[in-house]
Amino acid sequence: MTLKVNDLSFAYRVGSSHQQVFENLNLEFRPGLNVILGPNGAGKSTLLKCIFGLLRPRGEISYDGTSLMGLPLHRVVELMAYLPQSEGSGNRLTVLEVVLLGRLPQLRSRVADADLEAVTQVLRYLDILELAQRPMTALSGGQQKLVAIAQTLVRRPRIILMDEPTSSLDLQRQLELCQILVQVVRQQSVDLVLALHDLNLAARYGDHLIVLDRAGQLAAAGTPAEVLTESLIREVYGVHARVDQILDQVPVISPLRSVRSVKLGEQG
Amino acid sequence: MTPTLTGRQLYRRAVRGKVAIVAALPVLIVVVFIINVATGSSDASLADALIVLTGGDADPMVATVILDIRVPMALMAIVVGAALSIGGCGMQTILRNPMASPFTLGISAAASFGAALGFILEANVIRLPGAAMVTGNAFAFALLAAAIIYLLSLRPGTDKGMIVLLGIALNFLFNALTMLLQYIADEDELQSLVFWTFGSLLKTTWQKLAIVSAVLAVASAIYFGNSWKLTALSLDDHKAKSLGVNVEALRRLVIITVSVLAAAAVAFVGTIGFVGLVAPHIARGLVGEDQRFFMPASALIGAAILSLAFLVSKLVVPGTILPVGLVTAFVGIPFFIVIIVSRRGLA
Repeated sequence: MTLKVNDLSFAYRVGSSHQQVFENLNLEFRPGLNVILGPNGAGKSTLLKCIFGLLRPRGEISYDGTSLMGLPLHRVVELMAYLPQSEGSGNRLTVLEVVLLGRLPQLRSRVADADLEAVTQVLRYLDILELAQRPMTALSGGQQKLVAIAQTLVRRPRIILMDEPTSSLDLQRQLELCQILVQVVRQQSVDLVLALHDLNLAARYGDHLIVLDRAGQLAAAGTPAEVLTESLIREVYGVHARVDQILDQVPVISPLRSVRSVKLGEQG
Repeated sequence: MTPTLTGRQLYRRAVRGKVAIVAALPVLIVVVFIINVATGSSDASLADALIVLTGGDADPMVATVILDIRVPMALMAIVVGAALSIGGCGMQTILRNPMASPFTLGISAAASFGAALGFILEANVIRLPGAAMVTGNAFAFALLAAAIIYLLSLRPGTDKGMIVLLGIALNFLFNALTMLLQYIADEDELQSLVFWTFGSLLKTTWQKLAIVSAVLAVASAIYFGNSWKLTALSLDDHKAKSLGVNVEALRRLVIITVSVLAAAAVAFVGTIGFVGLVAPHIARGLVGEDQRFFMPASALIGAAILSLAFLVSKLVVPGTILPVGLVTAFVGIPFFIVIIVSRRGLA
């Protein structure tokens, strides 16, 4: 995959002023599992929205040499799937219906066997087939997340963009999800771009990491071992951390303390 | 659940109950329709009704009463009930608000004012053939009210409660404007104007029935063609967009369709409240929010409710037919209160 971002600039309008997120950002994703890292407000979610075309930035985003800027939504959807950070819940749709919606472009009033097989396959893959007929409102936050992920996977796109897919999952589900995503990348030759907070998950499962700093600038890009150094974590996250390389070259990050001294205010 | 279940089997299990409900509702509607045709102030029994409806020989007077008066009115109850309920279903879906309906959001009141204004203009200023001024005006004002609500819903920070409050305000505004027209109207006009505030099926003709039916058919086709997209819209806007739905265009399409539906219904039968609110609510509880089932179930339940209300309106005071809008209000208000107090309704 050559998903490239060139000279990307974007600002949110806040009232009459502008809040700049990116200014002339340049980066390139690689085949496999890409992870965007960075502190809160670095623009991880904004970058995903710009790539998917939900926001209109200046600059150029291209895939295999073809510009994605101004591509009509139906063409974008053929190419990419995007899992936003928020989950739509509070309605009475069942898990089966929500995952079926992932196949929206090809759905007809009479649902085709191919769509149903794809749905059951992905539900089985994520081990949530038994939830198929439950309404979304009856699921836990983590289960809703898995359903949203199932909806993304069922589309079989070439690129999947996921914003914080592991948030609200328990530790076991986080690891399982990452293993599943790695399998998806290997078996279905899909390229993944995840926005993540967890450095250790990024180090363990990411092929290519992209780190944005608080100013929305590219701080580093490369393999986990190249990128996740003690100095980078201190500069970008403002945290003193110990980084150990374990046998298979995967860095393990142990955060120690903030570089800022945190004082408790007096009570009263 | 066995892991060997195929996708089709799983799907059949999921939709079996919904299909059964949507298939059973027309039976209820047909039964109520036949009783409606057999009920009225003149003497025409159930046997007469069945003979006439099946094309048999009956007393010509009885046949005329049944075919020219009772059948169109009973069919109008079905068609208007379905039209208002599809309108409610559409508004509840695009605003993701169970309190939305053409009536609660003031769209019906606006259409009612438009129709009344059109009537006054037609009588005194501009004469157009047929009921063009009345229906055209009803549509224009319905669209105006719907557009105001739509524009407010786009504003960041607008919540469900604010939209309902705006609907209440629009309701008051257009009702007051209709009252103003009543105040300045002469005695003959006043009698006709009251028609739009009450909601009544008594002025039904085959021609009016045909117009409302045509509007309903077109609106249903539009909704059904977009049923999966509308289902996606019930998630949230970001989700729907990420699935490839042009959210803004779909919302506009629904707003226009709801306005046409409400305008057509109001122009010919006046303001009939609560059906468009209650029917989708019942439908959601029965078949969920997959629009392939939710929309037809809403329409069928709305048709059944208005048919039943029409039947009740003929039975309450023997020999007299009450305006059906009064009956739906008496049944609808307690239901409305139940929706307000139950947390499920606002979830």
